[in-house]
Amino acid sequence: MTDMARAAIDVRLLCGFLGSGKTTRINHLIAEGTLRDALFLVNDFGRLNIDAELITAEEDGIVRLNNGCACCGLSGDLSAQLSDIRRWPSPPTLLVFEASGVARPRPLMQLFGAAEGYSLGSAETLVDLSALQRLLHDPAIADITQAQITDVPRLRINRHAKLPGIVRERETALLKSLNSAAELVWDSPPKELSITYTKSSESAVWPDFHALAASAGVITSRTLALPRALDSQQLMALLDAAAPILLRAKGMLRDCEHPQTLLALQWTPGGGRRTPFPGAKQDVLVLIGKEGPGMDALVSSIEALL
Amino acid sequence: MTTIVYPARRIYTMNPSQPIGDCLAVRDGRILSVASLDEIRRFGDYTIDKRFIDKVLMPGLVEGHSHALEGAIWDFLYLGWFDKTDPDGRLWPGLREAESIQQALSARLAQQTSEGPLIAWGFDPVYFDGERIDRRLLDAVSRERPIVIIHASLHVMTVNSAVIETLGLDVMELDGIVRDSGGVPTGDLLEFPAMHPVFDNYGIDLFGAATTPHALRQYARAARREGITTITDLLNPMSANAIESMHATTAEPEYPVRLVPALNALSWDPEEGSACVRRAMAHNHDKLHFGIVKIVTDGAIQNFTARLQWPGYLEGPPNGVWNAPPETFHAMVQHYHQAGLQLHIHTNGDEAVQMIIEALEDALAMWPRPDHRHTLQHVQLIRQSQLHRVKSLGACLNIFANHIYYWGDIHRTRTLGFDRCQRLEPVASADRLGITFGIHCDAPVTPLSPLFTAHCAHTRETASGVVLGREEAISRARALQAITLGAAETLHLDHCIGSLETGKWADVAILDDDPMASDKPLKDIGVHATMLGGRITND
Repeated sequence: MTDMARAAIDVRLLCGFLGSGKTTRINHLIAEGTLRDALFLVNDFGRLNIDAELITAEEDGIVRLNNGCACCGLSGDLSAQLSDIRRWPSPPTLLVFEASGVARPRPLMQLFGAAEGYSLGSAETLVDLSALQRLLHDPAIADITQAQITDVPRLRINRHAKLPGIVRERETALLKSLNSAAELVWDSPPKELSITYTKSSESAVWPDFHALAASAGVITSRTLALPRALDSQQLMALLDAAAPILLRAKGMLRDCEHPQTLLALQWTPGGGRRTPFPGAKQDVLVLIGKEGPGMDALVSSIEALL
Repeated sequence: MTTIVYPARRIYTMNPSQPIGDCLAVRDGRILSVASLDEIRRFGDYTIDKRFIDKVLMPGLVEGHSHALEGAIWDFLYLGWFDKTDPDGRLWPGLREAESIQQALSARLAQQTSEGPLIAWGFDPVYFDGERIDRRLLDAVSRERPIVIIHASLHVMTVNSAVIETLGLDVMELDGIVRDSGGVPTGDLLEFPAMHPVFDNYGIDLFGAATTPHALRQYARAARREGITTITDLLNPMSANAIESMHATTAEPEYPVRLVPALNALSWDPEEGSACVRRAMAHNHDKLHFGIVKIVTDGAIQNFTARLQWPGYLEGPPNGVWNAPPETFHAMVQHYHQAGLQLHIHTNGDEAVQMIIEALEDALAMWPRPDHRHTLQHVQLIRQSQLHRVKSLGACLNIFANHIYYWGDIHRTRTLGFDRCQRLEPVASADRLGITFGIHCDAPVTPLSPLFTAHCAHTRETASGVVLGREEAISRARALQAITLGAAETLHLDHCIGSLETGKWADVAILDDDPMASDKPLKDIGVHATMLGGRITND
């Protein structure tokens, strides 16, 4: 087949700042399984959560799925990668493209509108409504955040469900003032975790770490970015509950009661403590424990606290 | 077990216990001794080789920040402002008028037999005040044959009408296609979205070409000629093909340098990236060393894309660009530090330096690690307070000394102004604080020549002859240390290279003149030959 005979690859462009939910959206599209013959070109390849049963082959950095779709990571030179993809023996009919967190949508929209072999089908920016103020007031990134909102015809809004009504209305008005023509799409909250829960003494529900510890493996460490304040009391209780698989946790975080105060957290199976810490550090939690479903469940449970 | 003894006019070892010597004894590819013949005799039988008797020996030079693209880009026509030597040793004079650029293009077109595009590189519009190199000027060379000039920044290209019409650029809606007041494309294409149609149509893949055996061999030839025995490729894609190509090529017995590639972290998910480096490290051999990771945070000062603290740029945009959100860089530093790998982090502007110092502080608070040697690269505008923090973190610096010569005049008048040029590339301050540092050229951005780089750090002379920031000049001795042991320390390879010391690899630069005693500028000291692991290398 010659270049001329091929139909242009339809492109769906996903933009948005770091933590705006682009990878979650792609995971959702993959899991949903309604797209056919699509290539997901993603920034954070390792964070995709592809069910092993869906994977039929993995070669040269491309993961092929049994529904005809494929995933690959962005390599350094996007130009060479786009040239390559359209010349594959069987190019995809749809390209779902996850833009970098600092990418401005307009040049990319124009690129896919103009590039040989591609055609821009849709472009949207994902907006974490709870983070909008922080991003728009950070002098290092405010201009990019604003461009990501103003450049696109559709804004897909997430993390809005826990916001008080008045805050949600204010942020929505702000989005409309920045881009009055945009269609607003409200994402529903993510599905509940599919893990069996047990009652802990603290009356919260946590995964059954004793049961999950049965299939625990080698010692591993996980680093979690904490983009928002959380209930640190609940976190300490969760870490205590995870003691069957957790050896150590340490990090910097903020409690939702006093989000302006940074806390240094130290936890061992003997107990944990939170100490106010002066200065501005990155909010991050490092977990050291046994690899396996227990560790996965702990990470998911911490993410659910955010 | 043959011992060969090379008597020399003088030997500078960079070994503080034994800084100079008369004879170099080599056995099994390693340095056995640097001493008088009477002392060397105690090791047993030996052969004397007098070929370097009137030469000066010093450790093989170490280029801690350059790119294998240097080995590929000379396949295209050089149009830079400054004189430059290609890997075959041919000098290409700098082109300083539009007319000489046109002549060079015409001459190459006449030689070119294929119908493909004429591709040129190295052109830097910042030097052409008022004179425009545009479509009209290229059309005067040829209207029919496609001409593509890739600018020195690699972020802009200029093309002629043949390219514009073939690709339909005049009717494309792309902000990066620069147009005149009548809406007609001028030939300038800014940034990747506008350049992509050209790369795509003519199959131009610069960074892909840099990983081929041909490019790696040309890169090594260019390095060897300048006395280099260890070279870096500080932004390597680390694809399976690239790793295989580097492994096979560097293993060739005649391959004349040791190669240290760094993973381009921005192309990888951190988990995958660290796993990739670990896998690649299984391929390490004496001439190939995987294990370092490169993060590129901001752009370049002369392109107005470096991230600056107040008061920003003299002219142009208020600030530069991040290549990823600062939070991503924090997470990357955390991850690769925790994974036990060594980071080399591009930070040109002082805002970028600040962000990375904070990321390193966070990572080290969480995961204390002695002797990590994470290295901030370029650090052109690093402030005094930031140097103190670098020192307290135990981090290293690799400073872009060549900038003083190539862009110093531009930085004083157009990008930074007087004060910040006094601290530009602050090698003397780094030295005073006892920070481990190297100096570098970032080839092909500036020419591959550590002796020239040492000359820049010593004299701080700009291309116009102005001395920029005299207080930051270092002595010849310290400059020579920065292109040998200093650079080796930033690569965490000083246990086997960087000085002439018993047990280290016999990697030697053989010079025509004495770089310490001669009145000759360091840049004019001739490199006679190099030795790699005891093997004398030549073309």
